[in-house]
Amino acid sequence: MSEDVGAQLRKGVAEPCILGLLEREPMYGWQLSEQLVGHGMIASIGTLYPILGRLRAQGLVSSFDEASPAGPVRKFYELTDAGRSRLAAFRQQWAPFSATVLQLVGPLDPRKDDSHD
Amino acid sequence: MTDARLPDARLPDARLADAATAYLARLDAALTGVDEGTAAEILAGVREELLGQDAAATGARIRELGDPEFIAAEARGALPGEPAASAPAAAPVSGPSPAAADARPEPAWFAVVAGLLVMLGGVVVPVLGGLAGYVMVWLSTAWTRGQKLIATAVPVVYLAVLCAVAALVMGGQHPPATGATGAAGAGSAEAGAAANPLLPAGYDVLWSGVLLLAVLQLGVGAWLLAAARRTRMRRAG
Repeated sequence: MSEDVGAQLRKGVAEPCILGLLEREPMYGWQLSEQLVGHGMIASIGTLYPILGRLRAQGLVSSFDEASPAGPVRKFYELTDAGRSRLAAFRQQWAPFSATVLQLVGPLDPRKDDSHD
Repeated sequence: MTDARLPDARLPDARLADAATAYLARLDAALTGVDEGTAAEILAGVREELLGQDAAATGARIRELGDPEFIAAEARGALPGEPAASAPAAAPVSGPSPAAADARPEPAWFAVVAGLLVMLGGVVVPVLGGLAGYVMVWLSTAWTRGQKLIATAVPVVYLAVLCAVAALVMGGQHPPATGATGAAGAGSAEAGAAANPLLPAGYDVLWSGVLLLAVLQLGVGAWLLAAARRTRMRRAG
């Protein structure tokens, strides 16, 4: 585990997080990037597009061009039916998975956390 | 799936502020070596955001985006090859392109051989050796398009200037060919001198020029090798 643990965790869940955002509404690249960077899920827009490319290649996401009222034509991304199914499957697994991990690693000890940093 | 608009992302747009254009150019250069489809997507995404903003908003967006090298490094790190979390059967990013399926990184020797051929190829096998070097340079991912253009433009522009100078020198010696009547006393020796020395003078320019081109290519090749080395170290670090 030489790499930052947080970075490894984020890598694992960046894809479902993008699917989750797109389930709410179609979004364009910058919108997605702002949301994900803001939540600390990706480091930059450079991380986003390779993931979007993967999701599209797997048929989980599709794109369309649409002019925005006060700007240029944007490329919007939206969930496909396969993407919705994948997201639903992830949701089903995530809750028991995170509960199991929490059970194994144990809850956060506030005293240890204070002394460490 | 609407990739038809992607090439536009690489074109400068008159409406873009200078800062945005400069940023996009830096980003484009930094994305060398990133899968072509992904690089085009990133450029298009950034471009559509910078497009149509006023100067202040453009500046803010550029600050928010940060260093293009960092974005490119992130794009490289996130490309297939690393374990994709929930995608054991991930297809290549830009499906339809057969080149995309072959996304292995280029071996380090490729750029070295390309640079050496640009340096010395033309001396070892005239013309063809140098051309082979340039073909390899353009196929390689070790250089940005700007660097490739500069390396290619140097000998092309130089040869164009050389030919123009040689033509001028040769042309300048032609006119008196039929005007030797005034020099009646000079006799046939001068007439012969006016007819023949044309060739050595023109060839002198050409031969010296070609020799100088060989020296010039040493410099271009060395510059390419140094640039490739810098890129390799940056990617490794």
